[in-house]
Amino acid sequence: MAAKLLLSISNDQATAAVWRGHRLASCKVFENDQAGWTAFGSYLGGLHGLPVHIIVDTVEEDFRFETLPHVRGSDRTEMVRRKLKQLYRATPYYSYALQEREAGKRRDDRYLFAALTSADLLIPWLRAIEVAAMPVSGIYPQALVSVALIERLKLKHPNLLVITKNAAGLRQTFFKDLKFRISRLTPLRGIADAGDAQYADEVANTRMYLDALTVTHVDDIMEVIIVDQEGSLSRLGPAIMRERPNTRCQYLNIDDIHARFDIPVAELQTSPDALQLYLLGEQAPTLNLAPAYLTRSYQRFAAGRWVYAASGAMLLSAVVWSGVNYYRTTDIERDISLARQQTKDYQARYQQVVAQFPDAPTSPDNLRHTVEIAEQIRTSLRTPEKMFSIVSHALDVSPDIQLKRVEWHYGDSVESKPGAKPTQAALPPEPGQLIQTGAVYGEIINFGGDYRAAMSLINNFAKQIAEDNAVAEVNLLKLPLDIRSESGLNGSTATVAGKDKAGFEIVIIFRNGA
Amino acid sequence: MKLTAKDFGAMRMPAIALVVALSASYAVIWFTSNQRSESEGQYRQQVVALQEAKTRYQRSGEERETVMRYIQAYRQLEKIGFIGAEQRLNWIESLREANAQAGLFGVDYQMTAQEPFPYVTKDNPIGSRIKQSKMRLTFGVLHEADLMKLFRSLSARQAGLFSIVGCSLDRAGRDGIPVPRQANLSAVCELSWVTMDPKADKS
Repeated sequence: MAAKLLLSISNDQATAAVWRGHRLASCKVFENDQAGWTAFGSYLGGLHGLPVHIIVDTVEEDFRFETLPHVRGSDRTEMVRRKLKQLYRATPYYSYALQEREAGKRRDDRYLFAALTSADLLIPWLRAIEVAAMPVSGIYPQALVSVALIERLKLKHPNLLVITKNAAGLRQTFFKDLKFRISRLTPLRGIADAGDAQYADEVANTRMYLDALTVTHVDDIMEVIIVDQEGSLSRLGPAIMRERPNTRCQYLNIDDIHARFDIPVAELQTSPDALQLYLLGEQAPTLNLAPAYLTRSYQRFAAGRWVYAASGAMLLSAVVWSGVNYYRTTDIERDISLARQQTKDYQARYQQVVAQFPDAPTSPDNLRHTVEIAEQIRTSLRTPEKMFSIVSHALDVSPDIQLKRVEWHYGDSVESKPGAKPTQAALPPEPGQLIQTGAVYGEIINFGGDYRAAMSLINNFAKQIAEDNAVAEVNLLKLPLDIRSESGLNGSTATVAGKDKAGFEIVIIFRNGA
Repeated sequence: MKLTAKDFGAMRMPAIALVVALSASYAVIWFTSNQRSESEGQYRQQVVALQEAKTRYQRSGEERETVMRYIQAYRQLEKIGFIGAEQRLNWIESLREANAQAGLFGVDYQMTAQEPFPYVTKDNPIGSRIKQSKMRLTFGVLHEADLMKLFRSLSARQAGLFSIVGCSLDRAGRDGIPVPRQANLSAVCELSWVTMDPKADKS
């Protein structure tokens, strides 16, 4: 928990203490005079930057309960603000707390309004704080700080009266059903020799007041908690019970307080307000009397601290994240090192084996691939010999045909000459595979103008070629007379017999793999 | 609540601290995350290398068999000039000798620059290293059988691995019975001299 300065202000003095690490320390008392204020200013000089939490213990306080219609949000804020203005015109130190909702049909809200009716008491102390540029977190009535005692002492009685003897005097704070109801301060100025009987009278007056308000009944049993730091109220319990037998008293001396709250005895002995400061240090009441302009610097301080905390948290997360990364990286580096060592081992063992291999100019895989690819190329080699042989055989049975030109091509089908595109049957199974194609350019010897006979000879020649198993297709690309219906035709019947040449072109497509 | 210059002034240092913390956090996380991801990448690579080394060692018996099986054929390919730089001088000399042996009347040749050889299977990892240089031959022959005589003679010289891509025989206007000791046919053929670039061959 962050450090803070706790300050309890009463009419005669102020007690300051530093709250650090859940411990109360450096309790110091300052008189309410010029010397005290100066000393307080010097004291603050060594505590630069700490937020200040203030308890005010004075008779110039006011607590009252009001029942208001149940509303929420800005309506509630506005309604309460108007009520506070109406109740406390003369002071800026006021606030409220919603206590409970009533059980009636309207379910109205019950509010506690509290104020410091005179702020003069605070002025010199606040001025010193302002000079020291310390942010004021809040100003709290002493009675409401005591509420924390109920939880700390595990008090459960429906009628509880807590009596404390502080620097300001004897304070009686009454809780009905564990909720704050009234608080009375009896100043001890000028009655330093007041005895138990006088204190018991004060308690009796309080009880009569409560009975009069019908908060308690005269026959109700009341539990009285006497918190006595000074050791001057040890006989107060029996005195109270003598006056009102229906009272149960619980007495806490300085040792009990030390045992229950772990407040150093030295601090308790320094000031009778040490316990209240401790309770404030642990938890500030929700009802804060400080006006907004006074807590503005604290809001800035808190916002700044929040940003610092967020920055710290971010850095911490980054460090943790980076730590995880670093740890994981180190882990991986170790694995890499291990894997590298294993790889080296395998490589060394492999090299030992390889050293026994016959001397090879390249890796075994390359040897194999090179030989295989050379074999593949060799297997795919073709020559025009096959085509020459087929054409030669065809010519043997066609003596009237004379060749002018023979072409042979071995390659991709798409590179073949026009008209030599193979049909689907002759296509290689995969694109890019090689096929043989050929073209024969010839003419009919002794052509006498008999186209029919010439074309019959050419067809027979082509048929002869096509009979070879290696041939997939034979296409007649050009004939002496183009008799196709889709082509034009011209010529002359006056042509002299034997003068005209009957030329033709045949394209041969070989089977895939031939 | 209205914010004043005092409010902003008070928040200056926390804001600077926040920016510094943000930057430092980002930097430190970025740096360590980067290192981590680099390490993870290195680890993956090392695991692959380990697996390869392991497999290679386990396959060393097979490799020995492969070497024994293919080394002779590989040496032979080296010898004929299939592996390595082109032996163009050998090719031309072999062509001259083949021409003389086939009794031809002279062969004119034109050779193109080296280019990739497209007719190899794609699954062979060294396919891209196979190159070809196309050679166009123009020559006269007494009859068509002389053409194959030339190529057989050229092949027998083992000057390299070549593939015949195309050939054409043309009477070139000569009709009738072939005349002895004369080029009755003109031939044009195209060859591809195929070689393998052994660069980065050793692995």
